[in-house]
Amino acid sequence: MVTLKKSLNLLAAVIFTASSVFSYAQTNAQNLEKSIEETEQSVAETLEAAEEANHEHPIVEKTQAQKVQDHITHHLADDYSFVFFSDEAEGKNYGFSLPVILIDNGLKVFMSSEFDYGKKVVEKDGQFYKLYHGKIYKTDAAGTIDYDDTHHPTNEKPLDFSITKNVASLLFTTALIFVMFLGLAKTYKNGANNLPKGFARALEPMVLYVRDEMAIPNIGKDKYRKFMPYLLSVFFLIFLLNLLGLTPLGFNVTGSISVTACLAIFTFIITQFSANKDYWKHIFWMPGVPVPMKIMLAPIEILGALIKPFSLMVRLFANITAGHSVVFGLIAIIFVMKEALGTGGAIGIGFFLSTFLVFLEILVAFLQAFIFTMLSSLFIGMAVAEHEHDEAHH
Amino acid sequence: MSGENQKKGGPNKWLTLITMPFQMGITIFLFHLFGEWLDEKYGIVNDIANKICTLLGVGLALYQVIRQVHQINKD
Repeated sequence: MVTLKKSLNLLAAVIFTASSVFSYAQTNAQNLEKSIEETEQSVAETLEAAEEANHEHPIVEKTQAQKVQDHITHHLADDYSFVFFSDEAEGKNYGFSLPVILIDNGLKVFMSSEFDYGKKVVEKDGQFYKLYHGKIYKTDAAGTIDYDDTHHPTNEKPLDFSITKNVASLLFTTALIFVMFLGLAKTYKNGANNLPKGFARALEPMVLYVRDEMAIPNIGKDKYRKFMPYLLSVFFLIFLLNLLGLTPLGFNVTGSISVTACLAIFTFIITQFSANKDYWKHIFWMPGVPVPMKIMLAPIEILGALIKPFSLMVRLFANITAGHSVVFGLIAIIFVMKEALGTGGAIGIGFFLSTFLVFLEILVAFLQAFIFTMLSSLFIGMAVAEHEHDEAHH
Repeated sequence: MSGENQKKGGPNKWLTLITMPFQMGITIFLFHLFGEWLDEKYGIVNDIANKICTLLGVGLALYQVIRQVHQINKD
């Protein structure tokens, strides 16, 4: 009994002591919260000030990691010139410039070298242009750029039809495909059973692969012929662009969302215009489900028709963009981790990892071309398919 | 035999479902937006319309998947 009483007393004492600690902790926590808030505010203010300072004086010394980040962002975006490498100490870029074509009170054509990578303001017929963060803006003789609250330029942009890096890459790849396939086509012209010679012999199996593994199983033996030109073009264009993106030329065409959007829109248009009665019936009045469900499903099916090309667009864009960023990041190990690993170690690790990843990217290059073509043929196949069994059931 | 299966669209037929995640996500999100709009418009307390609509969206998205899988199995 005594022990129980003693322990009860002890418990009361502990609770009493602890309660003061708790209340102290509470006030302490409140104080802490307040001070955290204050710190956050001041940090935000400092960051803002730093950002402003950065924009006003762009020649602030950047860290190695920031430089790498800038380089990757710059590579992923479109550009008005090809830059193969640059000498940072001298501020020199080695590459070639591309023509800029603007429509702004008449046609204005000049080489992008006149911008000197954004350092100079170009004057054409009394109108001034400035290259700022990869975009051309109208400006005055001093090259003033106005900003809105989020530091985006508010200057007007001229209508831009320039041969940018992506356009030039696309034209080059198209020419390459023409050269490759004209050779292949010529052999069949001379005789139905001729064997293609040289490089064309490597292309024939891939053409057959697209036909036998994608077009025929998905679209069907009777209808596939009509869609072969599109499927082949899209397959070889994406495959070649992906592969060229891995060369040091600096192509990043399939990693540009406007290009993949354009390809996806082509698939969408072809799907919609070759669709038969059954396809539209499945969208607006789904057979085989109760009437309230039919009404509910119609908007979702319409949405689904739009989401299909959307997912095509995002899949290709995201895969290539991610691949390029990661390869760049791994190459950057050589510069960023030089001190931590030693020059030799950094080069070794960076080289090993990036080589490994480039091999993976070759696989991805094929896989993305394959999946884009496969899904395109699948969507086309779904649009042209005959649903005899559905008709028989109802 | 597996080659024969492939010719008939064996494994390929499952590729139909590759856009399903996108479609489910967007369906649910749109229903959620619709519910939010309803709450705002009629001043419904506790976001009841939002909750009901989001759940309805989840249900419809699931229904779609099940219907498609059913269709694939039937072919």
